[in-house]
This record gives sequence, C-alpha cells and structure tokens, in this order.
Amino acid sequence: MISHQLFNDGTRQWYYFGRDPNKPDTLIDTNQYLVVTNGEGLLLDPGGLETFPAVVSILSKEIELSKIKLIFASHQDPDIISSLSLWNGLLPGVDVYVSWLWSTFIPHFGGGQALKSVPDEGMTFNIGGTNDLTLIPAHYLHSSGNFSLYDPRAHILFSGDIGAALLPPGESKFFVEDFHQHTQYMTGFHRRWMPSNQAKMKWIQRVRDLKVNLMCPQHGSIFRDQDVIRFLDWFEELDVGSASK
Amino acid sequence: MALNDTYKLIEINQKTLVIQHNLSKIKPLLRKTRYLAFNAKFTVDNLHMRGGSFSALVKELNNIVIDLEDLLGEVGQSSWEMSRSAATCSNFNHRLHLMVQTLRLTAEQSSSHLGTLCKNLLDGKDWIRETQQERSQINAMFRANTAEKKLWDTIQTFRAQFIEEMNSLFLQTRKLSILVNKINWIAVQQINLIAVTALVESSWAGFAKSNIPVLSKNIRELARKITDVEHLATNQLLDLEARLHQLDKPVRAYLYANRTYGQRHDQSSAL
Repeated sequence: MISHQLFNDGTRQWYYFGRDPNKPDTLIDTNQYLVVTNGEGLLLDPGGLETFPAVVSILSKEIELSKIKLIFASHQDPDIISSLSLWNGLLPGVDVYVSWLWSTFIPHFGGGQALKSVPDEGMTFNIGGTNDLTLIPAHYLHSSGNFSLYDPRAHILFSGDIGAALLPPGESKFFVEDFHQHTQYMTGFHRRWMPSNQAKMKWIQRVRDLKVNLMCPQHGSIFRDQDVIRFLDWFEELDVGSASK
Repeated sequence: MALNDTYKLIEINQKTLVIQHNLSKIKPLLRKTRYLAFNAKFTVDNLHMRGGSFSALVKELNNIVIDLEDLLGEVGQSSWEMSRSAATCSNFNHRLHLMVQTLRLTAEQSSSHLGTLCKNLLDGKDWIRETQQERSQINAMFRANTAEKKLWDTIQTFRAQFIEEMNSLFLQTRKLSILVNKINWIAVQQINLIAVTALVESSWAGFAKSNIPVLSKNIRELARKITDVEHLATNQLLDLEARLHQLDKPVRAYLYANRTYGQRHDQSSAL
C-alpha cells in the first residue's frame, strides 16, 4: 500500500493511503485518508476488514496510533467501515462518527461500542484545537445517509463515493490527468449508484460555493484544481439513477 | 490453537446447528406421546378400569412429557449458546489473524524477530502459548516501537477474549451432553417403564383385548424413536467434543499455567 502526503502547512497534514499491490483482486480498491491537526488524527473511511492490516501498518508510519482521536465513515458500506471491530479493538474508546441513519446498523460489523450520530444537516469536528473540518450533506449520493468532508484550510474536499472511478487493472494514476478519458471509469458507476438528480444538484450547488483545490474520492484518482470544476460540470449533466432498465 | 483454525470453529458452529436440528425432532414425538396418553385416559375412563392405578400411570406419563418438553427448552437454549460461542470464537480467531497480519506488516521493516514470530503464527504455530524467551524478547523490542506495542497489546486482549469464549463453549458443550443424557434416561427408563406397567396391569385386569396393549406398544415405539434421536445427538456431540478438545487443549494448558484451570474444572464439575 502506498502513502502520499497531500497537504502540509505545519499545523495540518492530509495523507492518502491506498493502491495496495498485494490486495486480492476480489476486493475493490479503496482510498483511505488521514487528516492530522496539531498531532491529532481524524481517519476518513478507514476501509474494510481485509484491508485493515495494510492500512494500519502504513498509517502507523505517519502517526502514533493512540493519536487517532476520531474516525469518520461517509456511509455504511463494507468497504468503508467493516473494519470497525478491529479499530475498536486497537483503539478502545475512539469516537466513530456516522450518519444518525446508520448508527445502529454499522455496529453489526462488531466491536461492541456505540457510534456517534451525525445529524442530517452535518457538523464540524473538534480536533487538535480546531473546529473547521466540516461535514457536508451528500444524502442519496449514494447512500441515504451520506456526507462529504470539507477542509477550508487545505481546500480539500473528501467526497466519498462521489467522483469514484472503477479503474481497470494496470490503470492506477494517482491524480486525474486526462479528465475526458477518465469519465469512462466514472459514468457507469455514477449512473447506477447515484439514484437522485435532485440530490445531486443540491450537492453540486453546495460544493460550487467552496474553494476546492483537491477532491478526494474513496475509489480511483484524485481531482485537482480545474478538474474539480470539470467534474462538477460533468456530474451536473449526467442523468443519474438511469443505468438499470 | 492456530490462527488458521478458524474454519474448524465454523465447522463446530455448523455441527451444533445440526445437533440442534436433530434434537428438535423429539418435539413432535412428545406431542404424539401426549396424544396417546390422552387416548389411554379416554380408554381407561370408558372401561371403568380397576382402581386409580391406570389413571395414575397416565398422569405420570403426562408429567414425564412435560419434563421432557422443559428439558428440550433447555437443550434449545444451551445449543443456541454453543452455536453463538462457536461463531464468536471463529470471529475472534479471524480478528486475531488480521491483527497478527497487521503486526507482521508493521514489524517487517523494523524488527525481524517480531516479523518472524508473526509469520510463524500465521503459518499455524499455536498462538495461545508463548515461551518465556519469546515474551522477554518481545517486551524488550516494544520499548522502541509504540505502534508494535499497541498492536501486540490488542492481540493480547483479543486472545484473552478468545480464551474466555472458548471456555464458555466448552462448558456449554458439557451442559448439553448432560441434558441429552437426561432425555435418554427419561425416555428409555421412565416412558418404557410406564408402558410396560400399563400392559401388565391391563392383562391382570382382564383387558388384554382392549386397545390398552396397542397404546402401550405405541408409547414404547415413541420412546424408542426419542432414544434414536438422542443416540444420534449423543454421537454427534461426542464427535463435536473430540474436535473441541483438539482446539481447546492449548487453551486448557494456558488456563492451567495461569492457575485458573482449577476454577474452570470446578465449574465443569458443577454442571
């Protein structure tokens, strides 16, 4: 698994973990992110049970494990949070935040600890003496209780499954380099997995008001600068919820 | 106990479910026995049979059926607990597997000994026991690396939880064996005894041509069927206990070494 620092201003760091060459083909590739503020860590979509060993071993090079204070799951899928029981074992008492809608479903992955509920309108995280990391509603994109996370300091948007691309084997560009070529890996996914054009437009409207330098999805390549705008334009035009007859 | 023994625990869970399913076949047999007891009572009332002895026998038969039904309820609860324990054990074992894998990946670059230990564990070495030498070597290494220490501590916590659950699984298996033996004793000894007594009494009373002998024969037949089910369950339980013993051996050794074996043995004997 590779590790990549996306941002560092001395106070806050963003790390990416993913592209594990030893990952079995039976598992979809996932991107994990860690936001460190004044030494305290917020882990975004920590991943599935089977990717846990690779994630922890690489992550422990960037942060002392006991410094991870919060875990956030953008929604309930197994590739997002089925490692919950292992995280609870490793970091007993760590606060895990999920949409209130999923707070009693996700514990079925095990671990035995209560989760913290995020209200529909979103919230900010208090970590490392700051409270600017903001959860933005992304309901129905694709889950009925779903959030993106925005960092106004780093201008990074963690978008979860929005902007996800199912890259074929051998295609593992870290950043999107040719947006139009990249859409072939996103179209089917977004048409099938995103059920509501109305929800899509609301989210786009919210994100257009933000300054976003990097848009980081949970699968596939990361969007930079103008490619973020290109993605919003492309997404706006896409008729979602239309892949299945 | 090896980390790749998870499938054996899953197998134990599946076998517990089979035993539970087989034992549930006793329930309809008990319903039939109750029905025959009702018929016997009806016949006895119609024939105005001698004294209260027949009525007492029928009443006794009904009581036995009630006892058996209660026992079956306990068997259901106990086998459910067993199945849950086996599932939890396999879940713990898999979590341990992943945690050791995590430690191995983390240790690979910093500590060759810990990496080798993890590799051995993943390759099937018994993870319940560790030598004194291993323990002191590991403790010495942890002074240098916090992430590895944290992972090792988590593995120890998972191991303790696993051992506790294995202990519970072992105790539940013993309890189920005792319950099944009780069913056998009641079915074979008590029901048969009543059926034979009824037969003898009816011939003494000159009712050999009534349907009492037929009812008695049918009741004995049901007792035999209950016993057949119980025998099958007993054999399956013995097989399951043998498998469990194989997995449980290091757990017992660990508990013994930690001076908790006596307490556990006492618990088993108390059942």
